Amino acid sequence: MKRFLTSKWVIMLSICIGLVVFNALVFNVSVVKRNIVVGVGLDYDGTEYTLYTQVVLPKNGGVASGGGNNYVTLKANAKNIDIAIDKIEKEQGAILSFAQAAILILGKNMLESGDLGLVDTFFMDDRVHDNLFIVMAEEKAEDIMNASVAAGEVSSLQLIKQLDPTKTPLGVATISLQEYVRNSKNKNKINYMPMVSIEETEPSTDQSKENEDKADKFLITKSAFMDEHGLKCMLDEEMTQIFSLAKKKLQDGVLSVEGEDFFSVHVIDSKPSVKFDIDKMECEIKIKLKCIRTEGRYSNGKISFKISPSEEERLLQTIDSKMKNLYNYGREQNVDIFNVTDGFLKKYPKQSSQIMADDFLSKVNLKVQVKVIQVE
Amino acid sequence: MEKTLKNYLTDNVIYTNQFAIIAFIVMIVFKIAMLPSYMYETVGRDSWIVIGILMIVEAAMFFVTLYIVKRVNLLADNNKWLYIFHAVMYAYAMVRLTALYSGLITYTSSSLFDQGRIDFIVIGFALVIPYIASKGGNTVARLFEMLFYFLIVMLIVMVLTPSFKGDFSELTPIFGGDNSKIGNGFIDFSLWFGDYIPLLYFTVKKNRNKVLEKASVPLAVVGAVVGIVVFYIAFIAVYGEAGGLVYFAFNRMSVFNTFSELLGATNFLSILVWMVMSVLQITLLFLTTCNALMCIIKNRVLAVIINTIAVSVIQLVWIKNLETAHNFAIGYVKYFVIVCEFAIPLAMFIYAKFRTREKEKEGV
Repeated sequence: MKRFLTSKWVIMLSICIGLVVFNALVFNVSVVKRNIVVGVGLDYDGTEYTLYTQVVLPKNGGVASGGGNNYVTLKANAKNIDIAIDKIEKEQGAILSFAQAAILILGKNMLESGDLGLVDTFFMDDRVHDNLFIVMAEEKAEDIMNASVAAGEVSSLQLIKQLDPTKTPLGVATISLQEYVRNSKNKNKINYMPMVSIEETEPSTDQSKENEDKADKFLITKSAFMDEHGLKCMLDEEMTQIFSLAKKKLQDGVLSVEGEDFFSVHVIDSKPSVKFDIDKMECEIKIKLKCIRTEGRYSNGKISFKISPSEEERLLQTIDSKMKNLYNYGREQNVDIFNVTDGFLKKYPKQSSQIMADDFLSKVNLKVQVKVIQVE
Repeated sequence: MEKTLKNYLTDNVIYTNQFAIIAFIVMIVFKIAMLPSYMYETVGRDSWIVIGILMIVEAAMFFVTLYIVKRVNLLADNNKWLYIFHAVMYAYAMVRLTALYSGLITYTSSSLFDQGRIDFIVIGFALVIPYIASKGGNTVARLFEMLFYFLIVMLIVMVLTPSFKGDFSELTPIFGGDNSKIGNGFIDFSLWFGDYIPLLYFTVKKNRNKVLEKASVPLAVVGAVVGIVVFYIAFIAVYGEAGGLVYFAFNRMSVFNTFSELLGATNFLSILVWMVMSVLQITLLFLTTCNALMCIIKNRVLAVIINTIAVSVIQLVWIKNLETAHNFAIGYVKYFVIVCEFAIPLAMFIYAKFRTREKEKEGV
């Protein structure tokens, strides 16, 4: 009996029984009872929040079986996100699965008067990917969610395509959930996100949409700035370009240089860095810009894409003046666009009283240094 | 003493490279789970310096432990003074097991299931962990060795395919904030340290390969120290002041690689890596409680049964959730743990010296 009780077969049998019991009684949800969310939208009407979830409905076995997917936008109004999720789940009889959600669209009202702390709800949910993009809708998140995209793609997925191209382009100040929440917890930092607007375009060539008389396309050229209290200011296309040049590593985009002889350069690679010097009261933005002239010129029997010395000088002046204009625009709006205060505070923590003074930013001199490296 | 128990007492002999592998895994596993968040809440952006100092102390203690276990077999020695050692070891391992096991249970219930029931997870582990531990130290060390190669490949894949947007300015100013809580960082989280203590129940045999014998332990502990410090730096750069909101750091950080971007928020690679490592660590702590109790009551099977019931009941009836476990860990028990972490190796160091001299006199 003792030998039997200590034999490996008894142990294996008890493990098998344990695992079967374990599997049978643990709450597991079949994939059929799940709604896979690809995009989330959030609007605020002054009293309640509206949560939109764009979910996948696989048809004929899904993409893997050649059947493709349908999408539906489910929505619910509630005082907070958890109640809204609960409402949608009860209405659908299925659990919302946020693991594949890749975008969060906030309506303008949400940013102006909603509680931005609600974004933390998504951050603290371990099922939500930290790389989820956050964008602001020009008007309502609902408009973006319900847009009929000309490219034949569902709006969430089309936006992700545009926000996450192979190379980071000039003029799109994308931000992920992780970056947004990190910035929002630092009270000296200003937060930002791209603003999405809709423009009507030619109808889709997609057969399923051929009867529709209109189609939409998304424009992501502007950006919004906000702090813990809400929306502070908006940047137009030109200012967004300069902002992205000062803040992000870029690998794509065209920078135009206005003037008598208009020309433009193609950004191949751009890396910014910022230095702070409290003795000189100076903030220096350095940019290493690897670029090429977009239009070739015919000279001496061959085409050259080289930027001439005078053009390079004009390019530097353009970047310098646009950067300073952006900085001054921010100051007028009471927004520290380049997070200069935070930079000084981090470098000179013992001089925080001087740095936190109201007139500190006005005393800081912005210096822009651009090193142009031409690629032939 | 029964014959099987005699065999078991000498079944704890491992090679130096196995000691190194165990050291590497136990040094990192629970320090990359909930600790980064707890540490950030207490210490703030300087938590990487605090963890770095603590890890250096931990690494040094592994060498002290290696010195001891190369000279004595604390499991087989019959010195009556060792009863005190076994009793303290039992209390120490039980305290750590209570807090850390809860982390594994909570992680399993939240990562593998939507609403995983803790009672069934405890039953599942109650079958697996005591079974491995009942096979003895030798088997546990072999299991560590076998799984180590898979784990290291998975970790390398995750490290070599990074895709995270860190802001390293979040690490500055160094010691520029509220420094009053830095001292708490050294004491409050003592329960997450002292991973060398369970290794005192092993006996280390020289490896035939001279390179492995000399280099494996330094390589493992230095690798673990560097790995942990780099992980904390990356964690602070990625999450900054939101670090306190991140419940499970390793899982969250592991989504920042190119594979994970294709798969969504559920990163099975990280789940697999951490679960395997944590089951090994919990098994080692469980084995320590079994060894300590066995040396007192002189019955191996009874020790395993008593501990299985005790550990499961503690989790099901008392701890229940991670918050209770955390409060328990940072309560008064932390002082007991911190004293044990230094007093036990020191006492055993003196004992090993004494035994070595005795053996030399006896001409053994």
